[in-house]
Amino acid sequence: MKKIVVIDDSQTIRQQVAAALRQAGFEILEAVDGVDGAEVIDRTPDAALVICDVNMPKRNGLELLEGLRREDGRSPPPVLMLTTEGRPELIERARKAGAKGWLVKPFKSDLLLAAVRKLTS
Amino acid sequence: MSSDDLTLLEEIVDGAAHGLFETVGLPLGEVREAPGRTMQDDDVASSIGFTAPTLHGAVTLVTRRDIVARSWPAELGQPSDRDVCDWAGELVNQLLGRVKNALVTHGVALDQSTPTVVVGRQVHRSPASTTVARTFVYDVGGGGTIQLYFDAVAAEGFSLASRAEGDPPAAEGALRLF
Repeated sequence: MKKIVVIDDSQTIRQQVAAALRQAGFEILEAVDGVDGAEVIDRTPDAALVICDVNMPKRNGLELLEGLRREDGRSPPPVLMLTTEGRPELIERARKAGAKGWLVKPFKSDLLLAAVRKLTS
Repeated sequence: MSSDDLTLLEEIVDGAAHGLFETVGLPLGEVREAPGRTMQDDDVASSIGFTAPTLHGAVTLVTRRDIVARSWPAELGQPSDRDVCDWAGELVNQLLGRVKNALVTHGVALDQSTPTVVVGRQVHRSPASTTVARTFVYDVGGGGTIQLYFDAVAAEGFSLASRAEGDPPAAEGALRLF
């Protein structure tokens, strides 16, 4: 079962993502902010994907993403950003930092699932 | 802020509210300016701050928890009280997201805080002292309303571009894979 780390300060969004992906056979690990997210990613070396919000307490999702890229040793898992943000410069910043996708909330479950399947295949 | 910009800002905020609540299955009824509205039985407020070099302020939603629960994602079953409060925060977050994405096309890029949710009895917003203070009251049926407050301070010379240069923002629900 592929593991997906879901990082969002909204419990509702985490539940929505988890409900959509668990039905499709993925295992979900949740984190509540950018600091917690980095810790969960660090202790889940076999994560197939990270789904990450941008605006979060403690450490935002873009900072988390850029921190992942700086780590040497093993390759970080692919990251799909899931956020209300749609600004082109933020999307470009994420792309340059290694993100594999950007989905603007509110999301449709089937679109999320299609993106996750593509990014974890 | 010019009256044209204020009108445009109002249209953006109002449009964002209609778009959001339509998406979550709670279409909004007629908008009424209600500066003298009396306190009712509202018991939850969610607020989120924003800032840009020329504009800063906050967006606040005030309503009842049972109304928030009506917009809760149905696939998640019955929400707990904690779920409802979290969802109230996410609603104002997504509302501001829509406002932000609309303002980008007019040359204003807002940064934001994370949402804060308050519960209590007869929750209401005290009169604002900001230069821009707009109240929208929406009918959501069943005797319920959602009040939306947009409070902001605009720097001298603030203006909304008729159309900003560059790429448009990604729309709500849009997916981009790299």
